[in-house]
Amino acid sequence: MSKSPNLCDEILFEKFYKQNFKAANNFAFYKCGSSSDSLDLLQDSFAKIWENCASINYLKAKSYLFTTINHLFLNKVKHQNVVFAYQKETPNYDKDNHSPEYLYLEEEYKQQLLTKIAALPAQQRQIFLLNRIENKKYREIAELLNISQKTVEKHMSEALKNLQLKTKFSK
Amino acid sequence: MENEKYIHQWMNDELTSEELESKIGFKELEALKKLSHYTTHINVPKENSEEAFQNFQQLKKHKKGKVVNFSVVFKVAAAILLLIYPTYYFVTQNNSTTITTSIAETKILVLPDNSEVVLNGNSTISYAENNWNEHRNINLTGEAYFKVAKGKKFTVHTQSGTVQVLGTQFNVQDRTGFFQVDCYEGSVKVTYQNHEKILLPGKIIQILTENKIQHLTTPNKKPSWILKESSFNQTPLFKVIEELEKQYDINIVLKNVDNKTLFTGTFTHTNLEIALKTLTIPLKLTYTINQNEVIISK
Repeated sequence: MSKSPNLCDEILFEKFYKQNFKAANNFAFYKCGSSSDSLDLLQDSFAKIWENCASINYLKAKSYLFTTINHLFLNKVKHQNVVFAYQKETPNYDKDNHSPEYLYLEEEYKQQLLTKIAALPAQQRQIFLLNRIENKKYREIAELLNISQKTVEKHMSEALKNLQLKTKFSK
Repeated sequence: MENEKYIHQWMNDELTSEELESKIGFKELEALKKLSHYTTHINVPKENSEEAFQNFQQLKKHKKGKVVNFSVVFKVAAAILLLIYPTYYFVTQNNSTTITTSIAETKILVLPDNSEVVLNGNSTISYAENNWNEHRNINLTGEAYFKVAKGKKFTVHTQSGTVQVLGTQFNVQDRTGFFQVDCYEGSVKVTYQNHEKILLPGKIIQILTENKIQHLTTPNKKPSWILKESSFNQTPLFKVIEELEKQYDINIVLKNVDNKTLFTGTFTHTNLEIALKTLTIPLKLTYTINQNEVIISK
């Protein structure tokens, strides 16, 4: 007889908001590369959920949220330039090598990588960053984006190719 | 296609680095690891969910169940402001009154609320006459003595700081590199950058620079220049000289004299010889007068 919880309940909604805020905000950020835009997207998406609270199944609300972010992104900000930056303290890959030449090459590598990531198609970038930064498994990403795991794999391969890893796949 | 499968497994933590290395080789694994390493250090947003939720609540309230697009609201607000502000500016600033004194000249004026201002030499005040009883705001450069009638807040703005009172008598001096407020009656609030100070009767605040703020006292009931004399309390010599130059419209040259020597005393505005004597004798200096130029030396 237990009724499934309903997001029109203020307390439940607040809990839902705070639980999903960070992940959803990063999710939007990977897509559009700007923290103010990602927050806008997020607030609008939460607002959509609030508007339709009665018709949304609580258990599916999370995936609804992420899907909404995706849709709103397509409607609103997909045309803009994407820019990424590193955290203030970014340790080099080889922490022990301090030769000027190495430091210079690493700096160059980092900048190239940022540019290449920014240049990826939004979906590829999002999947790549969700996997690399947030350690999300392909299965989880597929769930979030409402796509198949195979599609995630495909996007990931494309992303790695576009980032021009020295790694050459097969052949 | 084999390698790709292993890389996907590694990306999902289903394959260790050692296992992957045996499949794709050391060099490729290193490249992959390096790419991963730098990717994880990309700066991600640090918004805090509590704060964001508060903002969200605001949005929610504005329209029930529907969120207003903030940027549109701001654009509209900005457009309205742009339309209104020039009109407002025109109406409020149009009938402002400005009074200026030249060197060695003083002026007495009465404000719309019967407050009195005595303007010392080389000074300017301006104020807007409309709305005077609501906002008693005065802009001052130079020095003036105020005798404020009781009423709403009375504010004097200067480049250095602002002075606020309700009803009192006080003197404000704002000259280059020197800001001094003397309070003779009631109490006065002085704001200088981040500093705020309430002056009680008989107290003086003297500000040379932000770090050099002095609190002094005065036994006088009125500023000395109103009585046609200038008095100083531990004031650097160059300030005294400036005042002397202003009162007599002369040029003073210091020769081998430290212009930061502190001077305490009074000089009259009516006789240059006597004024120079009261300044030089205590400091053991001598002076010579050449028409409009005075040379002070040891």
